[in-house]
Amino acid sequence: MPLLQAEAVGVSFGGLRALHDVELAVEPGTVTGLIGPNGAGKTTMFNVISGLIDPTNGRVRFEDRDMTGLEPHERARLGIARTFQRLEVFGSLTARENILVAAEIRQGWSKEKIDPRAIAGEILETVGIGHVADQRADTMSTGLLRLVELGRALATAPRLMLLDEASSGLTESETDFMAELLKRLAAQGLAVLLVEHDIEFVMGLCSDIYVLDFGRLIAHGSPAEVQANKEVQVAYLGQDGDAA
Amino acid sequence: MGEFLSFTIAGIVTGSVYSVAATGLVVTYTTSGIFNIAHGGIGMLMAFLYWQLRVGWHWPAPLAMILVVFVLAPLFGAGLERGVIRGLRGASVATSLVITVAIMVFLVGVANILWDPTVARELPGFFEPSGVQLGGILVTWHEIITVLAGGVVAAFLYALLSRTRVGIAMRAVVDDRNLLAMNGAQPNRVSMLSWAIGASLASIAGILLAPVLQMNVLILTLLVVNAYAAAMVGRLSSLPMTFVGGFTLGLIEAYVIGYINLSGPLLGLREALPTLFLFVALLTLPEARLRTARLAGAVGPRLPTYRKAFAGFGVLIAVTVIVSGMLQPADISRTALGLAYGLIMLSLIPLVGFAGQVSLCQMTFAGLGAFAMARMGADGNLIGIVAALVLAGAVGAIVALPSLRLQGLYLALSTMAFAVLMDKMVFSNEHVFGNLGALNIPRLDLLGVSFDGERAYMILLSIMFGVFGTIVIAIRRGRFGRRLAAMRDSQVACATLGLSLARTKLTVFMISAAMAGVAGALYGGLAGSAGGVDFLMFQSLPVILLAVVGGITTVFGSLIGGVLYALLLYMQSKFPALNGLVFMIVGAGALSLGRNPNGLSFFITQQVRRVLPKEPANPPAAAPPPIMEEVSGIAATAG
Ligand SMILES: Nc1ncnc2c1ncn2[C@@H]1O[C@H](COP(=O)(O)OP(=O)(O)OP(=O)(O)O)[C@@H](O)[C@H]1O
Ligand SMILES: [Mg+2]
Repeated sequence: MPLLQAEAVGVSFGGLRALHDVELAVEPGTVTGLIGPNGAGKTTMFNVISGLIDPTNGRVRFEDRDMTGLEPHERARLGIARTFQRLEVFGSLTARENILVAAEIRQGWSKEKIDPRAIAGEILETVGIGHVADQRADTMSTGLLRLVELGRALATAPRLMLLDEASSGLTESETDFMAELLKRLAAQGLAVLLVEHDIEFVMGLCSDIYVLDFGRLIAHGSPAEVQANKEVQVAYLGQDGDAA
Repeated sequence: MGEFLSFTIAGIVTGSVYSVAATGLVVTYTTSGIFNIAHGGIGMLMAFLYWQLRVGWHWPAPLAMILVVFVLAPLFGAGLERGVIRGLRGASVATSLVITVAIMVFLVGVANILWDPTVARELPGFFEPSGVQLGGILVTWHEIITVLAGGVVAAFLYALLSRTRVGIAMRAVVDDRNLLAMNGAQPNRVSMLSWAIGASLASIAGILLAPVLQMNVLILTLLVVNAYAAAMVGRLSSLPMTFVGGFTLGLIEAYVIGYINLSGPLLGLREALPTLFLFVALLTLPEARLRTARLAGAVGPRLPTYRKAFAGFGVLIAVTVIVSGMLQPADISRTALGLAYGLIMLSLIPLVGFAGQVSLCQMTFAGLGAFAMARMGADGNLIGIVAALVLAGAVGAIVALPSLRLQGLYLALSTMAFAVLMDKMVFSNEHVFGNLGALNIPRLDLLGVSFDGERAYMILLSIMFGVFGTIVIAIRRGRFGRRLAAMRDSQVACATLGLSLARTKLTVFMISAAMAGVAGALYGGLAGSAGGVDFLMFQSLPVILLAVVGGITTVFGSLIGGVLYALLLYMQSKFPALNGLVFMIVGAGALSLGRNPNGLSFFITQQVRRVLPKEPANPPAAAPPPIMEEVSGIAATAG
């Protein structure tokens, strides 16, 4: 049974149809890709799943529980965490405090007994930013901030992680590090849903890929299947021939 | 029946004015994204200019009207947009609120200087007192013109927004500024035009209302509260619903005045109606969609260490002991006033400085505290202070609750409306501050130590400043402060981490209100007696503005702000003619420093650092070091 299941999710912004009856499922312990050209509706899908916007139609199930009507913070408490394409870092806090505050927030709602400081220390190492732990976030590079956001999301001990543009703004070595890290997290049982522009990154990492175009799901399958799909080539890979 | 008809006509007339004022507010807000608290202030200034032309210089009414409504007001609005508002793009809601409050306070100051408030002025209505008979009721030409003006404004806006290119651009500009720019429209021009129209509509409302109300600076300025209460029905965005809101409010007001005997405790009900209306409207508003924020890049102050803070408080208390020994009693209380205001300003720091929320009713909470002290703190009993804390905190919760689900703007608007309600219905009630309008407020008597003397009380205030300062620093350094900073930087991120924003906002608002309550009890004790007129909404505004001028994120900033306020008030008491100047200075100060969260305290600390070079300088914000090899090294070993 999939951990997350989107059923016929549609979103309209006024006259604009940003999502059109999208179906999508994410299994635990896997990295699933969600790709598509600019404006395809990927971020909108993330906003629906995390509760930042209500879908016009359709529903989202998490562990077979209908999440319609749940607030973002209630969904987070069920185990859904995310990062943001346009970073939403706590700029006036240090990297460590960014993660610490997330762990403290979790301590406020979780029944588990946890030590936020210890968790923050561990996660700083896990995501590889221990050396800049005490630097203010608003002085850091985009690449590091993506790692800060990932660490912050991990501090809530999620079961589903939504990563919006995990590798954009990262250097090559940072990108490799991110890929390794995601593999490792998935191996530990985390379900990852990944929005990416870097096709190579997605193809190398994901077992299952969904392709959106103008709000419609145009393909779903393994990397090979998706790459072979005609519609995908026209809509997406066609513009980016060398990546395919 | 005749009665009902006449009340209905009165309601439609006031409803027209409210609608005109409210649509002006909505047009500027939806187009520029900045909520103009100074909207009523602009209407007030324009009404006075009109009075000057019409009555002062005997111009014919149409000429004066045309000059004000079609020339002066639009120019003023456009100039304001160009000079101040445009610079606020991308600023936080708190900053834009503070800046527009500063504009309002500045305008009040200007009007008080240009038009001596001790002189009574009359503005005649149009063709007064003649009119037409309608079902046995005399409807004045002024009333007819008022309703017609409402209709013309509605038709004009409808035509503008749906039939013209620029109008369609105006509707699009908030939705997506970049998109609009891509389509070739010019967001700056469109925003400027909206402010010109907004000011023009404010001037119409002011000119129509002034003959009915009074030529009073504060009353006309407060028209903004009625306007935004009406606009709330249209969720600050729909113009047709804003008209519905305006007429509903006007009619309710007319029926209440007509059918209910407004005496005794209900005396102030009329002025309180917009607030009650606003709260009901807020409760029916849908939850706001969370807006994403960009990376907060403000240079924050350094986290104070307890050691330095205690040293600072020690110096403050020592200076107080020495200075108070050299002053005459009257001068002591004047100086101590700075500390008392500093205490009230400190209550704003967790709320405004740390959490990025705005309260425009801090003096109201202080008033509740003073009231509690007067009633429960006989002989300086500590119970009075506890009562002040509990009462202000509890009332704070009630004020905040209706707007917690919504964005910060709504909380700020609620606080201002609430302050007006308290002014009109509670603080002026004889059961609250007594039939003389003031109560004796005892000075704290702590563990048998009396602080009755002037000097002792000033020292007590300095100690309390240290206590409050320590609380503020403890909040900032602790997990709650971290959470507030996180919430200020990104509400969206906090929500997706599982934080209940409403609960966090409620908590910090209650803390702030409770602190203001205690500060108010002590402030009241300084004067020895206080009444409703000491805690009016208009007194909350200089307090928050000067707290911002001093530096809204630091304890030191509140001390600076408090001392500045005491100085200004002293100046005003020496030269009463300068009444308006104080408001002007406060407004201008906040206008120039309002965008810097660290205010004057930042500049002063910097100067001190320069003089004391032995202090280690802040480590420069290092460029991201080349660490990636290291990072991938970890990954390699881990994988
Ligand atoms: N709040 C909003 N109001 C109106 N339209 C919106 C809003 N958010 C997104 N859209 C529109 O919905 C469509 C999908 O946007 P979305 O951000 O989901 O795309 P995306 O796939 O994430 O694109 P990108 O690759 O550029 O990040 C776009 O046309 C966008 O302009
Ligand atoms: Mg996106």
